[in-house]
Amino acid sequence: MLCENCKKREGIPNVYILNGVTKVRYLCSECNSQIIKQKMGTGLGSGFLDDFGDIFNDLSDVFDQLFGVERNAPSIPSLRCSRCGTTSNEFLNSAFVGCAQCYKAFEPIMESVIKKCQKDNIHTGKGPNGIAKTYISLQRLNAELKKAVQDERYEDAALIKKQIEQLKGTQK
Amino acid sequence: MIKSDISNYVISSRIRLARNLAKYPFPNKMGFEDGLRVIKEVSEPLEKYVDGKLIMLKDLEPIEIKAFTEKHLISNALAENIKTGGVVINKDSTLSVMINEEDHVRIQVIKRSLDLESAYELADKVDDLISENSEVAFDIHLGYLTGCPTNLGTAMRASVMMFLPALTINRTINNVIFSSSKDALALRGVFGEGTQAEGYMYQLSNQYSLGLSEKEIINSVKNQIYKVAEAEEIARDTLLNKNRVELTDMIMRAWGILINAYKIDTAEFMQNISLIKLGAALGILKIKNSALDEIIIACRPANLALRSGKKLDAIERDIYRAEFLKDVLPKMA
Repeated sequence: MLCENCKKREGIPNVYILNGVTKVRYLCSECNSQIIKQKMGTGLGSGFLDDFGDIFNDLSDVFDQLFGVERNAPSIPSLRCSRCGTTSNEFLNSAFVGCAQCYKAFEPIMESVIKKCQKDNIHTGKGPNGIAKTYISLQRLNAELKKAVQDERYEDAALIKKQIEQLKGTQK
Repeated sequence: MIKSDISNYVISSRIRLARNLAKYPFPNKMGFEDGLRVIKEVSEPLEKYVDGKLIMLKDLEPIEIKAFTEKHLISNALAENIKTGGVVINKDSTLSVMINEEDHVRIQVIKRSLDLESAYELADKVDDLISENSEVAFDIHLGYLTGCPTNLGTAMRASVMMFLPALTINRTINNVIFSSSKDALALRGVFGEGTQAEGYMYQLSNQYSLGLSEKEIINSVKNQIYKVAEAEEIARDTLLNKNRVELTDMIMRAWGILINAYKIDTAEFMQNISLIKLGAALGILKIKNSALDEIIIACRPANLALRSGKKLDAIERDIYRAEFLKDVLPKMA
């Protein structure tokens, strides 16, 4: 994703939580440090977080940052969760879904939302009561494999492949 | 590598796991009755396990709710849900399970110094207990389903509270904030209701919760903590070498104010106690920093009012704070 400021270099998500509100902005390292320097000036004493808050006041509302693209795109269908009644519009405005089923109901827009605020869209951590532990391990290994191939670490990739096969073996 | 103990730079470690019960709408779309059902379903098995009683916010005075938030035992979001908000806290106050916050359940474990692993261990056990008793909202691809997509996946936040006086004073904290955002970690001031990084205290936490395992998150936060601690250590050495006399004078003057003032407000107290903490960290004062952290919490407005046992206006509170400091501080030195 391109830096939101210079629109030239690759931007990385700069995420901060202020007063419990998550603010996300995609900036390249150059623009980020420039903005921090500008906003902070030379002093860092008492008004530190005031200045910090300022950075974000410049940028439109946080969830515009997070979800703005989806909201403004004309092709976005109006969706409604049949279980809790939350609409896609409500979700994009508040950043909150209304129930577990919303994630299915808003599937067409969810992927790009998640892409913006998370590292990946595949869970590789814990699951409740050992549910599908093997499956989660497989997902994790597959993600690692992809990364190893991308990084051209072929020896690692071979090792991971072996682990995947072993794990699949225990499933049968 | 840092030369001294990590606890010179780290105050506490916190793990937070968010969970929702599959059969109810999330708190923002949930009715009163469902809210009470969630309270019952979550708190009953928990009370037995953690040997702590459920506290409903509706049964508390506003000042008691405020005191809980000052102690970081409940979040501001929970404090706003007076009707159906509840919390179960264990005996030593290391664990608090908030019910009907932004998500149905927020498990929070706070440990002293850098100890994310043992904090996670306890949070993980409580999580197991909850999912043994209730069906937790979970998706094989997205992980634990949360009210806000920024918490999906592990639904875990690993945060560490750091004490960074030298980096603040020499202004290189800018660079630290920048380098941690590059690693998808956030560093922010802790006290001052979002207006000031009072007390030189900062919180560093992970930003991504989906796409990484719990272990990976903990390790990335830990790695960053050591990097920041190293920067702080170098900054402290430089500060002490260049300005020992001025610094010692500033710290001793702060001590003088704290033990002699007739009244002292929150801002002046924080400013001076931060210098005392710095003095303790640099070895200029022989005081334990962890004891000072407890005094800082005790001197926040709501905790102070509760300690006094009576209703205080602002001036009375500032006088009471000064009396309290006169009592506790000399015993520590």
